[in-house]
Amino acid sequence: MTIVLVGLNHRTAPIEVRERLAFTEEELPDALRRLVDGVAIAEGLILSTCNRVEILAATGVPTRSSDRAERAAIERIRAFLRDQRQVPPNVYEAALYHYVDREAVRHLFRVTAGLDSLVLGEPQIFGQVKDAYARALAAGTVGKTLHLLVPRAFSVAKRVRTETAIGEEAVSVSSVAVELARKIFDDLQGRTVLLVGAGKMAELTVRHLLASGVRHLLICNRTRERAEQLATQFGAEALSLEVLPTSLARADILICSAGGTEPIVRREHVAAAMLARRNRPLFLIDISVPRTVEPSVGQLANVFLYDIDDLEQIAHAHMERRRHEAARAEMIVDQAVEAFMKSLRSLEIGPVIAAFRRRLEEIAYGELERHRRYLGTLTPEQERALRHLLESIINKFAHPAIARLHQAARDDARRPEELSVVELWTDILETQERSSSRE
Amino acid sequence: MERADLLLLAAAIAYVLALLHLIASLWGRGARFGTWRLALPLAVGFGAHTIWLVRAAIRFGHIPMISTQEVFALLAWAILVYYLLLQRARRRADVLGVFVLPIVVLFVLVALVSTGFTLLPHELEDVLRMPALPLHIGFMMLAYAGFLLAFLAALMYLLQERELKRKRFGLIYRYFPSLSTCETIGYRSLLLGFLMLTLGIGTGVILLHRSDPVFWRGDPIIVLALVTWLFYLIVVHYRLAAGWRGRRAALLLIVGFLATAATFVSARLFGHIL
Repeated sequence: MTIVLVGLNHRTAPIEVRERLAFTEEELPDALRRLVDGVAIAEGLILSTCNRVEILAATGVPTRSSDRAERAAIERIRAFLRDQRQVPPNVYEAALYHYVDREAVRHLFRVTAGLDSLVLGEPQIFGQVKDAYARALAAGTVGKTLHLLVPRAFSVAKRVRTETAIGEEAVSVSSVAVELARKIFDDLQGRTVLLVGAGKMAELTVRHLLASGVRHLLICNRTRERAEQLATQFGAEALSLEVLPTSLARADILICSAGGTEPIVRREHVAAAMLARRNRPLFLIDISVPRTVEPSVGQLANVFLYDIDDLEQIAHAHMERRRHEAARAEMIVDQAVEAFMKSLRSLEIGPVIAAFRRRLEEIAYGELERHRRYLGTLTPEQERALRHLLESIINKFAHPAIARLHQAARDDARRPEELSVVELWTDILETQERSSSRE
Repeated sequence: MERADLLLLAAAIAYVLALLHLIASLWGRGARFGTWRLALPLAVGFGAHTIWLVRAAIRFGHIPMISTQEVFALLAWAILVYYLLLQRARRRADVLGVFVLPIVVLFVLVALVSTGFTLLPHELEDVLRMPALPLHIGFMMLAYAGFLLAFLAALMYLLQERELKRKRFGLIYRYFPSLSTCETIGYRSLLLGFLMLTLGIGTGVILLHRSDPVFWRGDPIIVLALVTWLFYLIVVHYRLAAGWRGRRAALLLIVGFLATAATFVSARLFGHIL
């Protein structure tokens, strides 16, 4: 049982390449069944997101040289990609990476925990891996190995999330704005947002706020038509610029993204609004450059003014912290990889041990049959005693050997060019069988 | 220490454990507060504490709020009642425990080392039998505890506000509740405390009037209590009427608490039983 992972991601391939290789949801069941041919690949899973296309596979029964098995599996995945995607291989071949066994496990763990993501520590990938696993389960391409491996990746990701602060703080300007709003208002439900001007960043922030429970949105623009256009798009109320000063009192959060060199929101406007608001806090986000909210507004009591630089600095500081936490997450992953490899070896050694026992029994009972003619007729008691005797000998010999085998498999620390304990014993048993059948 | 006080000691230890858990989760990885590791010691400590109070009441045949030991044990208990109520009411308010629990622990320890029931002056024995006395003391305790909580919430508000204004974020920003939560806790504690103070002063006046109709006029403690009451009345009124909230309200709560603490301390110093 060798685990291989072949794929490409945002670091190795541009979006033009990734989108051509991506699998749609509808394609997946069929693609999964095609991937798993039962020869080179016994189990498979396809993870296809906008940032990565990865194929995780496990080979079947251990063979004498898993070196060949892994090469066959990787070849099989490449061939599968060629068949499935009508894309000339030279477009993506250079971007493909492949990992085997321990490295494949580590890669999967890192991906699931968000350590390999474009935005370090982002949580969406966890759900995407979960979906990919559910699809593979539904398609019936998950066997013993992946069933052991993928859920382990989930628990590693959860550990990373709870034991490090990797996903705790916002790292994009718009999500920092939402986080700050929460630090002021706690619950955003029932708060009113006033958007002045337009722009990509402003709209993104508004969307973030709406997703966080903001229900009421006012939109104010220099041109009335533009305001109304945006208002219909967001289901908001349109305002004209003239009423902005008086409308300030209605808003809890103001996002200012207007053009022009003159400040639109002046200190006296805000001071008046605060009086009308009875000092309920006001959160001002000025993401326009040059700034359109008078900076001295920030000195007013219960007013919190942040400009684009502030937000970017916060996002940057949070990112730094994430990187710091990522180092701790990597240690958790390292531990988990080692632990997993041990359980994988235990899983693999199972059939070997069964074969080992079977072999001993075959030999013992074979010898019994061979010598039966010299034994004469046996009473049922004698027959039973004889079988008991053989079983005892087998057990007494096999028991410590099996225990050692278990341990050796768990602690297997072979160098890459060596055979693993599993491979070695598979080999021994096969040779044994061949030589005894030749007799 | 008497054997009965082992319960109080157990409570103190449980509170320390709860506090340690809070600190550990602040310090460590990705602080997660609302776990059984916090809830369990709090529940155990609160249980032991309550049993101790009930036993003391049975033993001495009066509500345990006369001796220094009893007063501190009861005060700690009242503070904890508020904390448990407010902590359940608002998420992310657990961190309040970092401030509340040391005070609770301190009060319980004071109760442990201070003397138990002492004989009261003869003239007070009559007073002790009056049904208004336990009511009066109970209300005052709850009022003090409420103002303490309001004070702590105000402190947290100011610290969090400072971070948000300065735009330089540290542990406070990360772990303290939002401004709105701090304010809500502060306001609710204030209202409860004010209600209790009103009732406490009312019963106190009745009590003093009955025990000695002349004695209470011009008593500095009573004047101080009335000033405190008036102060909180103004705070509540202006908050409702003029929108005194946020920073200013927080500062007022801090001042108010200091005045209350002064009333309490001077009352004990002048030998008043309150």
